[in-house]
Amino acid sequence: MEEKILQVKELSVSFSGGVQAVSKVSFDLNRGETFALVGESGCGKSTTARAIMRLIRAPGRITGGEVYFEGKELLGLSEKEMTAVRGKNIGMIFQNPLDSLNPVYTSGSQVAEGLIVDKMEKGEAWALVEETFRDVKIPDAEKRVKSYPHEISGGMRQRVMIGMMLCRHPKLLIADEPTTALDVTIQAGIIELMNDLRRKYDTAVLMITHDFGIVADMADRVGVMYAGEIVELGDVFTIFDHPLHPYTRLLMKALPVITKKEGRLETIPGTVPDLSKPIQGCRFADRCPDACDACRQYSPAMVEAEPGHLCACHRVKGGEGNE
Amino acid sequence: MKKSKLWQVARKPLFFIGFLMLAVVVIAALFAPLIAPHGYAEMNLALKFTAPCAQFPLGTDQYGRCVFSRIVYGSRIALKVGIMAVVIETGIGVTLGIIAGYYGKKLDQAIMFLTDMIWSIPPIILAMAIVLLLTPSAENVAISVALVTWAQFTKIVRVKVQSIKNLSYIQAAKVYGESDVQIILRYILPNLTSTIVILASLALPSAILSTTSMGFLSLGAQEPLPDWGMILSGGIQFIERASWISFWPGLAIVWTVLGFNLAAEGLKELLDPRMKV
Amino acid sequence: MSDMGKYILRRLLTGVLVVLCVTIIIFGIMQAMPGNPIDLMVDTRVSPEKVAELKARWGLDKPPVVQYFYWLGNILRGDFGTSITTKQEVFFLIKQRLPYTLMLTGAAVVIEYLVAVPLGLLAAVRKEKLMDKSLTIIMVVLWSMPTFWLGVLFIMEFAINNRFFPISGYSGLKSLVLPALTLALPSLAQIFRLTRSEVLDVMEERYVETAYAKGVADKSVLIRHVLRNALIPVTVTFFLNLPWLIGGSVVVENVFAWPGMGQLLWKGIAKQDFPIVQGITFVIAILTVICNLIGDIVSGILDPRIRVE
Repeated sequence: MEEKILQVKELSVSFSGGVQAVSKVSFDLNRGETFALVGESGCGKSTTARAIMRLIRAPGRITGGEVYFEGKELLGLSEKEMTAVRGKNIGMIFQNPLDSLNPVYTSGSQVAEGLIVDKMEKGEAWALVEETFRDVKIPDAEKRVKSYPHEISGGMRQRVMIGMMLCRHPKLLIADEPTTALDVTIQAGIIELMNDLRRKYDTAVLMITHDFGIVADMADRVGVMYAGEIVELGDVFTIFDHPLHPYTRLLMKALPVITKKEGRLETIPGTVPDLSKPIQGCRFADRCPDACDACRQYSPAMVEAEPGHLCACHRVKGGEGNE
Repeated sequence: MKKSKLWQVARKPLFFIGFLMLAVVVIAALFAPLIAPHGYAEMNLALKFTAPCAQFPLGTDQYGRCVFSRIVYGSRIALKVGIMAVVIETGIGVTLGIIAGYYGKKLDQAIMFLTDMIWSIPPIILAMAIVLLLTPSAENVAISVALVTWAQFTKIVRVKVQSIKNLSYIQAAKVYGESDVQIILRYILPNLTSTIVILASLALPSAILSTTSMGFLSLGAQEPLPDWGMILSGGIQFIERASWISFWPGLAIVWTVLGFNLAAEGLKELLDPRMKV
Repeated sequence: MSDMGKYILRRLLTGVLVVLCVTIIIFGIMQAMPGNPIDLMVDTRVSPEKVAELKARWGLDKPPVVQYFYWLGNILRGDFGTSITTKQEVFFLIKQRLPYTLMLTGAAVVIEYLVAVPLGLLAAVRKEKLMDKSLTIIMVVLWSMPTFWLGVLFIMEFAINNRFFPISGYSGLKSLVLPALTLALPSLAQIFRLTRSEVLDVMEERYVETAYAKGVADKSVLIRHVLRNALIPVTVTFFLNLPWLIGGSVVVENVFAWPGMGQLLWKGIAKQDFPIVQGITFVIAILTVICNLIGDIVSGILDPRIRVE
């Protein structure tokens, strides 16, 4: 069943001062598939995720493009229609479970809130909340539903978030660095849980991460983002087997030193270009070990190097495979 | 850089209006004898309760004194008492804040307990008690208001000092054997300047409100001195006959306090727009 | 709930400690006053033996520390002494006037909170828009108003020009309107500003984004998540500021000849009637501590994190 559940076409987002955080990003997700957007922090991957949910706050705004969810265009919906899509059809979990739960409500009631939005009876909702807590493997579920967020650990809180977003069986889950703020020991458990549940409910996942380890564990296909653009896109085996874009290769080399804390990877020399000014040529040219004159002159177009494997680099020729 | 920021702030109409309003008050205070058509204590019982007219622009009070002249002279008292109160409360508050923040431990706890204590007594009532103890006068009002309001300085300065004292060059100064007093005067106090200026400028309008309230309760400068609060309270019993006696001094207070408030906002915007007070 | 119980108990003990310290401060000031209460209370014709007896009753022949406990003991028994000027029991005078002061400050408190919080929320939602800017300007002007002048304006407009309300004194609930507004309006500004800035801060919180991502409608997010959290610091500050409001009532009562304690206190001060001044100050201190205690309890209810600390 190769049906597209999400199609993102030339999505652009800009912030104040003319910062073009996301420029013309396109990709799509099949039903039940996991797609990972990978890149350094500040590359626009989180902004892309928020733009799909239309959670970009002023002064940031979506400046162009289309987002289709099950064939329905989202960016043109009224705020009310979009509210109905959020949570019910597309769920989202965030990077830091420590502050993504409201401190003044019990964790259970925050899960129930979403169910009540779906017009579920209170009693029924609470029963489902308890079941959900068991589903996400929280011990003492019947007690923990009454715990406040500050009374449970970060890993547990992320489980609550996952439960909150999956108990309504959305067809798509957007996970923005779901394990980054957690201890390494807890990360594996969360990934395993997400893998189990997405298979169980056949949920498509858009995974935002900077960690190729997680990509390997979860993703079917990968998009590599740099400075607001997707520079390489393909299925996970191809990308790991023969990455085409120099940036992807450098990013993968940096893999072993990726720490559990979010932060710029120091292993790739140079800095991301200033996105508030127009950029001539390839955005990666200044940091690229293979950059040539053409790279500084023209920006490379996305070409299909082999079926399903796209790359935007002057060194890569369409249809020829490597180099 | 500095200049462009000053320009930005000066361009905001509200701050500009604030400074203009203040200029009027300061000019009135400086040139009172030239501006006021009459002396502040000049009585003329034959002309009592005269409505505003050419001779008495804002009318006369129950003793036939010119309300306008009394208000003009009164600006001197209002500014003097307000500024004096702020200077004293800044002195006490900053000193205690530095001591609490710099030395920490027991001394910190004691000072914090004291500030909590002061917070939990209604300030006007405590100030009234203190004035009563010192006998009512303009100076004593300034002292008493200062004695009940310094705590806000202490709280903020203390937190600020706690963060400053661990800076490496201050630690280094300690290692070089500089005394605590030297460190405080040379390194810590300069770091506090903008905080203190902001706090003091925000405290000034409140101080003027508090001191004129004390004047209203006849605890401030005594007759025949023209304390704005006192002129106003003196007029209330005649409000149906001569509302101008109470109306105009009140407007003078609002004018002054509003001017200071707007100017203080501007100053805060200029020095440290993110500071929470 | 037992967490809550322990929390309240801890706060109650702190409150008692504060009252003790406040009484020490009052007593200290009293001690420092020129003359002593008995000499002021009795006139010169009273025999020295009688004076000595009175002094013994009040413990005035003992060292200050002992005197303090005598004084405290008397106060706790409800013996506030007798007024120097009217010769009435101070306790009786206070009992007569306390309800009026509570009525005035209570009404002002309700007005202040119910007006300032929604306006603060409105200004935050309409940040930088015309509504926000005009509200902010109105609030700065109110903040700059002395209560006594606002009272005069109200009297001139609503009691003299249009006889909607009585000018002064107490003659039914209608008399309450102008004094309560006078007391509430100037202090509104602070709560307004705090609500506005707290709401803006909370809007940046991640859990608000979570709520939106859940598909909760805009209004519910604003009330259930944003305002609910912003109210914690707002309420704490609100109760911390109550002493200012209670203090302000002294002034307002004098503008409107309101028959509360503030007026009595002022007369007491003007006539150097020490027992009245001490008694009222003590009662107000207790009131303040009670307000703070209620504030602590309310913030404990609002914020589950405080209870454990």
